[in-house]
Amino acid sequence: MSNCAQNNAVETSSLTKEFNFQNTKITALNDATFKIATGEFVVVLGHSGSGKSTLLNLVGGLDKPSSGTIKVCGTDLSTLNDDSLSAFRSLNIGFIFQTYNLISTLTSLENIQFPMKLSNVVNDQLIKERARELLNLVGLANRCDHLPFQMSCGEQQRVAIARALANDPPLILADEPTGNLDWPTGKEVIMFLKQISKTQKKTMIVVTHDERIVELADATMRLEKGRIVNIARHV
Amino acid sequence: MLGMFDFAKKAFKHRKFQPMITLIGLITCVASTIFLVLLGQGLGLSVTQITETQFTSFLSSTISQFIYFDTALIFIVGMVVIYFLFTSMMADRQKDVGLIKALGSKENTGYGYVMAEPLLITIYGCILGGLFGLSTFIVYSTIFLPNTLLSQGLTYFCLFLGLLAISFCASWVISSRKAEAFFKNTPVNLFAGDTQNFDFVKEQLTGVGKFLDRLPWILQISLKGIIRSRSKTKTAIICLSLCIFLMTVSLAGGAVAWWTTRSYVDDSFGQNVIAIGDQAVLDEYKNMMTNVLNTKSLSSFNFIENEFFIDRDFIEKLSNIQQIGTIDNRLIIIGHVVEVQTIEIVTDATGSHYVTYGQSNVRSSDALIIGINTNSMVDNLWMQNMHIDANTTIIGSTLSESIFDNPLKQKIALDSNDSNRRETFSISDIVLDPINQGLVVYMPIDSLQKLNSITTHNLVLVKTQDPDTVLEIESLAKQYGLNTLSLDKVHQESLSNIDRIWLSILPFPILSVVTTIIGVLNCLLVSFSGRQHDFGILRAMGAKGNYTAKIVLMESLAFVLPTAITGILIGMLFNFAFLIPNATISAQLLIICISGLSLLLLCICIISATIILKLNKQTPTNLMQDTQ
Ligand SMILES: Nc1ncnc2c1ncn2[C@@H]1O[C@H](COP(=O)(O)OP(=O)(O)OP(=O)(O)O)[C@@H](O)[C@H]1O
Ligand SMILES: [Mg+2]
Repeated sequence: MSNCAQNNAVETSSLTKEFNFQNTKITALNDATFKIATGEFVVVLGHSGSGKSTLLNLVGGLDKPSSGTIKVCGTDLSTLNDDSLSAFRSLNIGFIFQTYNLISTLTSLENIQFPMKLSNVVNDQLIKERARELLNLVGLANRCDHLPFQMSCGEQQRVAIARALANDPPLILADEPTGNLDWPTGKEVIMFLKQISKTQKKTMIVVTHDERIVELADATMRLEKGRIVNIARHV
Repeated sequence: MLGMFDFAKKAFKHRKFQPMITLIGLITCVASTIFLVLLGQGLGLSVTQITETQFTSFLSSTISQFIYFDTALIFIVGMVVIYFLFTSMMADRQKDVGLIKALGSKENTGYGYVMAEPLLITIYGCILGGLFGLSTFIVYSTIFLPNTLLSQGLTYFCLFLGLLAISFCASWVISSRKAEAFFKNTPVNLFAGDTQNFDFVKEQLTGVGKFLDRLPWILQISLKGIIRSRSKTKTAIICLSLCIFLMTVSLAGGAVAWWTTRSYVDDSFGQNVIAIGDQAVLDEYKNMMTNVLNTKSLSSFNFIENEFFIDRDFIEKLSNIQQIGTIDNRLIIIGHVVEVQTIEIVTDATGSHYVTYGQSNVRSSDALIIGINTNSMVDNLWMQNMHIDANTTIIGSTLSESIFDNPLKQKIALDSNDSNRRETFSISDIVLDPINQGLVVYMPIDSLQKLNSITTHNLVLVKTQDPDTVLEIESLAKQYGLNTLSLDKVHQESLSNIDRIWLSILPFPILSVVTTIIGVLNCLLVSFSGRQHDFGILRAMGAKGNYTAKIVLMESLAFVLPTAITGILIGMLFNFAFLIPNATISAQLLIICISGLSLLLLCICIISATIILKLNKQTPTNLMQDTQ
């Protein structure tokens, strides 16, 4: 369906998102045009309310833009109907949200299994093993049978990261994955994401407030009041 | 500072979906409860009014009992749905309560904030639902029950206000008790929400976990969702079982009661029976067998005119026809019957004393008196199990209730044609025979003949299936100036009369089924409204819209299946034990009832899944924001 190796991972043109709120129009994202190459590790920076989450939601096909186009791995998202968009997400995009990430009635192991079950990986045993592996990877091997409320926010966040990796998607979108972690742990998580990005040539878009993460990135994108004010590529 | 009601209004405005469903649920629930209870009252009254004068008492009591039971149950289900709506709504406010507490609000003020929203919903819901229910009732009853409404206006209004007050109090008490319970909890527990009792080890130990792990994935997550949020599930299951219970009583009970009343009519007629007699006698006889519904006053027809008596010669010729087995000679007359008081000596620990049965100012009535010869009868099913001898009678159910206190202990006196003489008979049995609206006495033909100084009879019943024989009988009868009447046709007419009565109260079970459907739907919708966020996550992970719909369908089935089994079973038992104790039903009817109910429930599940699917046609981001 899509081919990330031969295309830019993300390509947008004049992407705009407006919210109507109590009769006033809020432009959460304004005319954003950018390209992110496959395998890049991009950090999105900006003040609170600058449109970072909005951008991420649009790129991930979770929300529809008011105008403009988004291509992910060469596929124009607006050409997909609801179901094929879901299928596309399931295979190509891993999400890590800012808050409330997990299904509250499923244990961490079950939460991680979920995307794999959706993408029709058939072997149950394989799925379980991979889920355990991933939990191990984020350092929560001993927490596999806990429901979300029985874990700390940081732990929940790490489960969410493991879940985002489950289907081995080429593009991972992370909305403040380290927001709830102390810096050493946060750094570890980021390094971890970065390492995956390098070794497996995965594209990562990571939203953060934390300037310390900038030095790890291949590129930074700065948002201000819904506009991209700067895209810088580090060499 | 943000006032309590501002807070509530804002909460309502921003968290539209869930309080909206609660409000709609409350409105439909109050409206349908009020409508149906008023209607039940109205129907009950009008049925009693009609039946008191026209039906056999058995028919009328079966029907009005059904209506009153059903009315009571609808009321109960209404309350249960209200209970469910408000507990679920409050359960979803758990985290808010935790926050309010954590922010340092004292119980009193915090309580005010939390309760303002249910209060608003309660007020709006009760007022709108009340108006809606009342106006529907007024429109409906001016069309269908005009007399009762006028005469009972005040009763209805009081009933209406009472129901409204009860609904209001119920909603209020339920939500405030739930909130109180929350406030007793620590904020941390409240944040944990509905899953706080989860214990993985326990789940595995009880075998539930292992069982769940073996199921297909969709089923697994549906069932885990249900089992791990236990308190929510518990209320949902109680509510659903009760709703389904009512549905069973209402539908199957109605069907069974209908069937039972029909089968009593069946029993009192034989099959393939032909009556022979003078045309005037036959006409009157037919009338008395079919007038279950007509307002026609009781017969005062004189059956013992000379020209009505049947020639001996005819009977002899009739008995020569090959195909005819028994010839059932009967004497029917309209007579005057009188209650007889009896006295019994009872000996117990305190010694012997007298007990009187019946009233001293004796009651009397006109009744159809049928003289029969127990040795030669075409089969009336009920008669096969009863015996009469020269001194006993069997009386109809209406008669037994209208002029007796304890008919089996009392006696009955019949006037003879010599007006100074009365003869007394004992009563051996009571029969649910609809003929002459249950005002009937069966007695030996000899005794009746003696009483009236008659030696002959005025009606002959024979049983035959063969059309040639029927023709033969007809032509023979003509030679003697007699006519024939196929009782099968009369039978059909009676049955269609019974059907007409039941059809007239059919809106009742249908509407009560509608309420239960609304109730079940509400329960399902409410339990999913708390799940929107989860569905958002699923969608974000790449689950298609119909995948979530499948989960919803699975979950509703998982809710409905066990509750359906319990509800239907208990409902059926209830029907047979209380509502229609002497039910006669066929296995066929039972299967139709149960499969019909199951089909209906399946439809409800599919409807709810469809609604959820429609509601899920939003972007995942929208779904994940609880407040839209
Ligand atoms: N559903 C909505 N309705 C109205 N306005 C919205 C909605 N969602 C976001 N906004 C507005 O859009 C703007 C951008 O929001 P967004 O969530 O993208 O910010 P953000 O950069 O992620 O902020 P943060 O760092 O605090 O998460 C904000 O001003 C916000 O108020
Ligand atoms: Mg954000």
